[in-house]
Amino acid sequence: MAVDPMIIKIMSQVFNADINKLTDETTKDDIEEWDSLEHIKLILEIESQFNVKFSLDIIPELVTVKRIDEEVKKLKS
Amino acid sequence: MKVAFLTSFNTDLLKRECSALAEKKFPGKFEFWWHGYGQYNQSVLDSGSGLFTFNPDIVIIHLEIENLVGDAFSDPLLLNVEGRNALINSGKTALINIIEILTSRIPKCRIICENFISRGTPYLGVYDANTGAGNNAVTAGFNSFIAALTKEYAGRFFINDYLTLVSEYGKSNWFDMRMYRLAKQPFSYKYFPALAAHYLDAASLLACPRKKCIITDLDNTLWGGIVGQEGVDNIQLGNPGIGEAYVSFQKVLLNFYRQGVFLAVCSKNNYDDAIEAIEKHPDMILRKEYFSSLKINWLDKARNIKEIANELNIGTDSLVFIDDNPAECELVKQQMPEVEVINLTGDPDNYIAQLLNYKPLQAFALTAEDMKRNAMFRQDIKRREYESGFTDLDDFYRSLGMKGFVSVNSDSHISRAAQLSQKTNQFTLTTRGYSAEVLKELIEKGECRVYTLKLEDKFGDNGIIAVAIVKPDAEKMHIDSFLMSCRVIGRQAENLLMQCILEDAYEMGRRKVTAEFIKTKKNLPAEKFLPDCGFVLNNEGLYQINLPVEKLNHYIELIRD
Repeated sequence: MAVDPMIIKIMSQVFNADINKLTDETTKDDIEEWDSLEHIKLILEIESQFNVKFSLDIIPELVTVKRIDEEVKKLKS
Repeated sequence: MKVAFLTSFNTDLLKRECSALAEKKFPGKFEFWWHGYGQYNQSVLDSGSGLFTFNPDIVIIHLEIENLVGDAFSDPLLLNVEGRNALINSGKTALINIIEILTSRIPKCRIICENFISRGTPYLGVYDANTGAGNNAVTAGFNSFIAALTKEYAGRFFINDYLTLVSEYGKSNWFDMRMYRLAKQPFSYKYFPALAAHYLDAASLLACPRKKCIITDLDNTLWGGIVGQEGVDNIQLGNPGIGEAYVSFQKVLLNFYRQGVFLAVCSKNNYDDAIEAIEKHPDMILRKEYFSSLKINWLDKARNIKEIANELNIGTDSLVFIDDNPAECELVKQQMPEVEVINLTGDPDNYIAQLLNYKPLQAFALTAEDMKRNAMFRQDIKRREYESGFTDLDDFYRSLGMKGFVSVNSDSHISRAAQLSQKTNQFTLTTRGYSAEVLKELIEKGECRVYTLKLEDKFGDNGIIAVAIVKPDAEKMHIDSFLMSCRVIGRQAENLLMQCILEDAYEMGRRKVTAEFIKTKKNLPAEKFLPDCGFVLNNEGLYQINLPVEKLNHYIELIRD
């Protein structure tokens, strides 16, 4: 199943990055701005847009687009 | 205005929110400084830190009780009474230290301290509230401790009610402990805007003038229904249900009245119908005497509002207009954009929330003048009625039995003197505003004498109504500022104060006094004052008078302390 394009969109906004350079395969290592603080901002933004709440142990794992998508879908189902 | 934050939590996420909100709500007004996480103590202790380079006008201290008292909070039963008290006292000492250092190193700065609320349910559960060792007791103790500090550091230390803010939203909403575990800041992302607004509203209370008057509609605002149609007996007021809620809303307005905010009525009604409800309805709280002005007629509201401002002698930008009718609100907004318009919606209980959420009507501290303002206004009305019975002004002045109390460098008058210097713009020679701290410093250094004049008459006490700041040098006295409240213009009180200054100068061996008049758009009432006292322009462009001179004051009994 394809990644929800909303995730890429939020990511481009949070990291101020070109949306065309972000793909389903993007990970933390591909984006220089993605430090621990930006990570929190990203997670909060995703939580508020999708109206979900990630558990504390999962948040540090959400460092790839795919993983975020997977977790959002799990919480939404 | 420069605003620095001292916080026990990480603000990396929050500060963006504050800057964005400041630009939106108060464009160009505020500049912020934040320390790195965990640096609040170092920032204060190190005199070379960025905090002191920034040189803030306002410092907002937001520390969490959990951080201040450590184990006394997380493990209250581990410690015996002494051990616990030692931890609590070290938290208090830390706070006092911060205040002491800030007030001594940055004399101009004012401190806003957030009060305390714990983040979650006490670990001791129900036992907590039953023991002096519990989180409940410790938090309450800290809140009374800082409440006492507002007296000790009056004018410099204020409490911002974070406790109420969080209670309104509820702890389980407000706090998001995941955020604390991951980012060392405990607030839920959702409430960043509310917290940022809470900080900015507080800073703006210190940075912007307070609104002075609430102008209220009547029908469906102070009571339910339309009195002209339904009659006094049928309006909803006082009876259980919605009538009770209107009474509560009136009590909120009464609380503003007690804090020195003028109340006025602007309502489209037949005067007699409305006055009957105001004076006769058994459950009416705000009787006629509580209103400084009543405009009950069929004219357009903008016009009535302008008249109210004129009568009260206040700017239209200091008015707040409240009405349930959106069309009236829109009209006032369009015709008078400087007036703050609050369109009351929903139940009267919602009106209460709307009005109390509007912070510029509020004040961290009230002066004695604030508390007495409305009573004094009533005396003014009586005085004017009395004046109209006289044809000879001399007779009128003499019959008032005026007494003028003149003090020099009186500690208890300094904050009022500062307040008057900042807000007087009509009867003022130079329009120089001073803070209480600056005045105190000038007095301590012997660089100036601050004169204050309190005026009483047969109608009551007018309070401190005139201030002069006089700077002596070897050969003369120079009047740096001279100002008087517009409420007492035309009572000759200015002459009494000037006479005291001139007599003092003479007694202190000076043979001349100089003064300035700096013209502004608004200070016309003071333009002729210096020439009228006998001052003439000298070749340095200053007004000068040579001593000694004849008495200037003929009507007011002088009492000096």
